[in-house]
Amino acid sequence: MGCLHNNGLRNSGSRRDMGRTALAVLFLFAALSLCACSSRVSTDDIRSDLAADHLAALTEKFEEAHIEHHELVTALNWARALQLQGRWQESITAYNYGIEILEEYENRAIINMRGILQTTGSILLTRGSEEYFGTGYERSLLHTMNAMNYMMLGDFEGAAVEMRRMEIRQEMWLAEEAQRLQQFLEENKGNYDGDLSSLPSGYSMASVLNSPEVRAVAAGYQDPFSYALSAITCRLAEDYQYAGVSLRRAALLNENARELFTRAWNLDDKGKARNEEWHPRIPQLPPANHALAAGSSGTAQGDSTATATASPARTTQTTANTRGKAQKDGQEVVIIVMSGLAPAMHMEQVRIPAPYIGYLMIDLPSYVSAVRPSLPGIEFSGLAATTGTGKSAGRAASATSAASAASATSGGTAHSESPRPYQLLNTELLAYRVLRDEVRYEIGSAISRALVRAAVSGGAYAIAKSHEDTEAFAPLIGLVANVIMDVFATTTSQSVRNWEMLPAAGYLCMGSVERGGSVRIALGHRESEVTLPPEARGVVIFVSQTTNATMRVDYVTY
Amino acid sequence: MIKLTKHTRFAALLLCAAATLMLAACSGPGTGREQGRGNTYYGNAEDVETVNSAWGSTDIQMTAERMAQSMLADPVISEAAAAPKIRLREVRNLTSEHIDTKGITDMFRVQMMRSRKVRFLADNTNMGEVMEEREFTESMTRRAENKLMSDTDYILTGTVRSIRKQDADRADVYYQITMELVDPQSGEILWTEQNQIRKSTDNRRIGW
Repeated sequence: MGCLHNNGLRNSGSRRDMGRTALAVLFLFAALSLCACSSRVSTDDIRSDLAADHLAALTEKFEEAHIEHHELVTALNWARALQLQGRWQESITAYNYGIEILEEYENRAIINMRGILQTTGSILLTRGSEEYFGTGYERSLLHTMNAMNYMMLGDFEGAAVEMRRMEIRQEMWLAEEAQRLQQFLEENKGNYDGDLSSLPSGYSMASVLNSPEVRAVAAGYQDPFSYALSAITCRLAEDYQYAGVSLRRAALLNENARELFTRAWNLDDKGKARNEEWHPRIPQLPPANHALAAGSSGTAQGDSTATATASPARTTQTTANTRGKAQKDGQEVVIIVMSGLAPAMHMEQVRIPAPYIGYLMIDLPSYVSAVRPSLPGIEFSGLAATTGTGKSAGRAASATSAASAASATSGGTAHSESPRPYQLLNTELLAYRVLRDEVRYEIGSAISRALVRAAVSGGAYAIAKSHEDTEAFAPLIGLVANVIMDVFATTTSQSVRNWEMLPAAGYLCMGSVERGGSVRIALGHRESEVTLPPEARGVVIFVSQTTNATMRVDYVTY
Repeated sequence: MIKLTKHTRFAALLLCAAATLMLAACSGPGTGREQGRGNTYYGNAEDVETVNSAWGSTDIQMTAERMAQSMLADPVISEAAAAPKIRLREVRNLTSEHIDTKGITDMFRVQMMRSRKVRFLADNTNMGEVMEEREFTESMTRRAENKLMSDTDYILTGTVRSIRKQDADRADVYYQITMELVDPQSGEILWTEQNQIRKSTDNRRIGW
């Protein structure tokens, strides 16, 4: 008996040591996770730096973060910050880092141990273990954004290359999504939207994901803005065939795009340029009724407040009457406005009370709303029409304002016919659509992570409970273990980020001025005026504004 | 001998599993990527390069060689009474890669010049510098000499196109390079040749 008792004492001592060791291990990993998962530029820092117009300092932070973490998101944020300063060549380099990272990921082995480990970590422990390689719209938009760099350098062929890469990415997603969609439709008997009523209570995205606007978005990767820009870019690069393909795709995805091109390129009801001498240079659009039929599966993603409501046919008729003679000597104007900041992804924790360990924590991806500044006012002086291609150099003009709203109205000589900006990109809707598509998987892995954390904390509780001297503190030990796991999961989840510097909205405005005319872009008290050199055929004006406090206007003539 | 209860063993096992996963999780993002390169050494510039499926040096060499051989064998050149003067125009890049097409035409021109069967005039790249030099020495030369520069027998143009396809198992890229020799006076295409390149990359089944 004495021997047994002695053994029991020794066993009791060993168990106590083991319990202490276990807790020490948990503390150690919590501390390690705090050290390992810091130094990224937080969303709050990004937004406050931009609001205060501290772009140069923010760029340095992005560069440091990229050197340290070498992730897709760090590269893209850095590239966009450089772009906002007109550092086009450096921005191309940074975008290429991002593309390199993405291609390395896409070319990994079919069964790659890194992916398996990260996914296992994500399903069982923390969402932060999985590296973010962008969603469909981010992967295609990175090429669109990079194309802007080439365009502003006057390299339209380089810009066209990026637009072709954009299209390849969209097609890759189309193929992937088609398979997934088919499977989903079979499982849900044709109900694409499905039922999301089972989202955890307290999850802030529940109402957004069930909103009709998000449900109406056809896919989380196809954006008409990129296709419309591709049509313009490829035309400037004299690849008219490809421009035509992009034009038709943009028009099928979004009625605003159809109206934009119908007005700007003076297309007739059959989608052909009215002016015969333009035919080789103006891609043909499919007739309106064809587009409506074919585009019924796709839904317009634009903002109706900035667009005209007239039917395409009526618009075409009106513009045809008012244009005409001026077309021959007009200078083309393309204005690209990239505005605001995309919604920022983060992990949201929903805590539910639980016995023994205090609570269960369910962590799900969520978004902080996009930043949507006021749209700059655009005026054309000497309104005319469109023509021409070719290329030459350009220079930048920038303007910063203290803030204030400006409406999307237009001035100029023919007020009623002044071109207006059409919103073709809304990254908020695209992001929410992606989350809506993936939320079931996210809930599944969040529950599994919560159960693993509960099991580990429960284990600590059980160890404490099995010792006489710690039995009384078992609930506290269980709670402490749970809090440690919670801190670990929360800290490591800080790496769950999307491309926060991506614009929230993209607008396109196309028109023309009489030779030597000018375009005025105003936001609040500050304005920029671009006067076209008479020898140029046209101008592409790139307006960037991340907040109401900042606006930058760059242009390239051709 | 330590005897552990069923609960304690289970808890210990869970802690070990958690520790392993935490290590895996912490080493997740941003690691495992090559940050530096190994030794530097000289290689043969004409060796076949298959680092990846992107347009590379071997594609330039193959294309330039094939085009040059084809043109030299064509009667337009081989049976010409005097070596014709050619001006290289742009070979347009219509692919989804940033290809410097000047690399193709430069190599092509080198091979053609070595044959001594054709002559080349300054092209868009060096025309500016040539004109600057001529203006500088204008007082020393006669204006009529400028005509010699525009006295082109033929111009050379072309395009590079690509089709890229990819699925989970493999990636395939097809390049089509076309060059044309055109008489600028009549607009007649006197010679044309095409080079096709297909590059496939199989994704490894298992890897890191």
